[in-house]
Amino acid sequence: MATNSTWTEAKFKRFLSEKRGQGKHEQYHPWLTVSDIPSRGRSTRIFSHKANRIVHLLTDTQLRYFYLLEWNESITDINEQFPLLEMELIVDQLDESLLKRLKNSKTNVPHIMLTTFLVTAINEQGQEYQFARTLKDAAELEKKATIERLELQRVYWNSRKINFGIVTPHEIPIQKSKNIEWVLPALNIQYFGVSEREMSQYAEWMSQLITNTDEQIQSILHSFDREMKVEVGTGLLVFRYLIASRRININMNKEINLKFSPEELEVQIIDRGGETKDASNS
Amino acid sequence: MEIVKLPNGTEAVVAEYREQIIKDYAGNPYIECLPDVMSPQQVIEQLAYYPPFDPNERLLESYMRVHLLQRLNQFFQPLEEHLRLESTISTMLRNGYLDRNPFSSSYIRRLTSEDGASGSLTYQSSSAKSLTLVGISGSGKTSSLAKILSLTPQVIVHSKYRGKDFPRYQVSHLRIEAPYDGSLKALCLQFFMTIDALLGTNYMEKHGNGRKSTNVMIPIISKLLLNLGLGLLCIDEVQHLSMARSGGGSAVLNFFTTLINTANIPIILVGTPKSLNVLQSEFRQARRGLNGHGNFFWDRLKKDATWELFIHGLWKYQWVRNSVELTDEISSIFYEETQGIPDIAVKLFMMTQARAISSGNETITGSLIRKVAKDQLKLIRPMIDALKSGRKSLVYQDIMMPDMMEFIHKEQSQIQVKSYIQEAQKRSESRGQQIKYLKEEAIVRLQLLGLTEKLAGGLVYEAMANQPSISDLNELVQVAYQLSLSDPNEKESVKKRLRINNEGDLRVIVAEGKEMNISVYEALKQAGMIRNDFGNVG
Repeated sequence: MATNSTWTEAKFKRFLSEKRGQGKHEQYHPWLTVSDIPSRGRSTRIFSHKANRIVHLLTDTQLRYFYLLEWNESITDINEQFPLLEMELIVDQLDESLLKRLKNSKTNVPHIMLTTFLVTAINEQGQEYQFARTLKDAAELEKKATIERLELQRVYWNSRKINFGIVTPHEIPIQKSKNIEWVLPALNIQYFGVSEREMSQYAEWMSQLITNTDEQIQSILHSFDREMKVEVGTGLLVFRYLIASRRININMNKEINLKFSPEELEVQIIDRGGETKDASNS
Repeated sequence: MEIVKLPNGTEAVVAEYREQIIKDYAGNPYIECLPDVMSPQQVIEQLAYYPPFDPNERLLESYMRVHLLQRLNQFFQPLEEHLRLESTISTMLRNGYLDRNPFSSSYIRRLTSEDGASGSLTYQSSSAKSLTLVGISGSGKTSSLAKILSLTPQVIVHSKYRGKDFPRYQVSHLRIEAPYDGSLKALCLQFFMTIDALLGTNYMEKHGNGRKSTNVMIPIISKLLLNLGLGLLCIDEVQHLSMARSGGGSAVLNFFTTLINTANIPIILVGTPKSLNVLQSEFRQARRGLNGHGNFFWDRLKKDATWELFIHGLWKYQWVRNSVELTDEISSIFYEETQGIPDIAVKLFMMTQARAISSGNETITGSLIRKVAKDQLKLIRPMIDALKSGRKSLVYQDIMMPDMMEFIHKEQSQIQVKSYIQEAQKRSESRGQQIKYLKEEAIVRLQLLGLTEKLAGGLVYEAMANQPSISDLNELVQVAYQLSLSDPNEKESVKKRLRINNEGDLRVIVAEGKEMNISVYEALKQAGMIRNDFGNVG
């Protein structure tokens, strides 16, 4: 539902009282939700396994980047549409043109800067760290206002010692994002009428099939459906599930063409112990 | 002036007898112990109260400033009327004592006679006078009167006068409110209570019990007042008497008449226009035989120089961030909305500011004044309108004063409603302003020390970057100046500093990119601001 998009003091107070921009994981509430802004038809509400809640994404680019975040194993939490509410921390460092950006000169209502994603991740040493990313189209960067808002964000994150960067569509590997988009839904097996137990059986089978063949993926899936006597398409679901649940690794940067063989897709089986086996070698 | 404390805590002044320039006043200890007669200039100085005000207070957080607004309650701007009232009261007080010289034989005879209110003594040449002060609510009757009366110490202690023993308390004035129901008995009890509270006596216990009728109490009170050397009796809220059941009001007024005639004590009657009815019908009798000091009728301020004097005095007290000059337009709006009633003007001024602060607009404008007046002066709107159109009948009804505290609390809780985050934002704003002010001031001072403006700017910037929490101007100037001393090559250091300060600034990166003729995207990418976190670009 598109609502009135005028930014007012009342709205500001309401947002604050709703504790938007605060909390972690499922408690986090984004500053802007899909229902707060007039829709251009490109916004998405989607469940995030990392955040364990529905995230609100307002553009296609945000959605694509979200898939990348969701896919990355070191990432533990995603806070989207993150508001910079504590600008007083950096007010000392701002010159006048930046200070002017902090509030509406007529109504005095604070403008809230949004960083598209504040991401929590674990580094190789097992320590938690955060980084902040704002998504922008390259063309938008030509605007003075955009740069000033980005500068505010930079100073803010800098003062919080959190890495900040800008991401444009150039930095988003589209194919990878599309692949993630394609495999992720398979994790919700209950939507497909498959039980956990069944799925683990199927997964076992599928791994076997893939390891021992040079056939095209589509014929493997076909014979799976036939031999297991399951609904047509179940094989495909299981294949997607295996990728999404990381039981097999493939090159996510390449198109997942079902006419390819496992080798062409660079399939690797991850066994229970977590060791990697090259499908083509076994 | 030596001050002693009575056992009940009241502060009393030990009498010092002054030489009197006016010969009539000499030889009377009651008069000689009073402060000197004041010149109008002195009166103005004594009466005026301009609360403390520091423009830097405008930088305080909003909830603090709402407290500061309360200071305006004490604002007192003496006007011509006040001077006239003061001089009248001053003469009244002294003249009232003239005929009550404790060392004149006739007075002593009267004092020692059994019945102080004896009719046989009323033919004594009476120097007591009466004065009525009638004014609409909010014209400042009570507060001005209290201010003027406070110029004379209320309790004076005598012990020896010119070698003769003269142990006595002198009470220069007593202020009593007319009983709300106009009953004489309530008035009598109030006399006892007021005197007890002032001197720590126990007349209430002694005379105030239910068995004594007013007929007995009144002579006791008359004598009591004589003994106390009361200078002035001030009866406030006289309009209450018009509420009295039949006869009650006149009984009280007759009592006052008696007091004036027998005890020779000057009386000031204060009330709203409503009390005119009572005074005109009942008190006429009493006033006829008296050479009154006159009657003050305090109307609202006229929109003339008096109003301008008043509003200009008030206008200085703006605790909003963006203070504005008083324009003719705003002055007119203020007058229109308050009809020149000083109390309402002060309150409206406070409320307007409270609203300006709580809403975050931080500026007083004509439309804001009108809006607050419309919202908050609803109850008195009919009176204001009546005043505007000149309909007197409504005006004489009492004006209900807007409840200031409730309004302030409401605005205050509005502020408190905002969560801690917003508080923090307000703080950042004020910190922002403070810092801007600090920077500017520091730069000016450094220039006075012989540095160029550019260098000073750079140094201040650097000093603040090194010590972000710095908030003292002197400290900042010192730190910045130290920096300038540590670097002998001024020009180089300016450039270097500017570069350091701008490090990473996206605007600088973009500008530099422009010089190199590359796109903003490219410039940001080269500066490492564009992040490619997820490997290959497909």
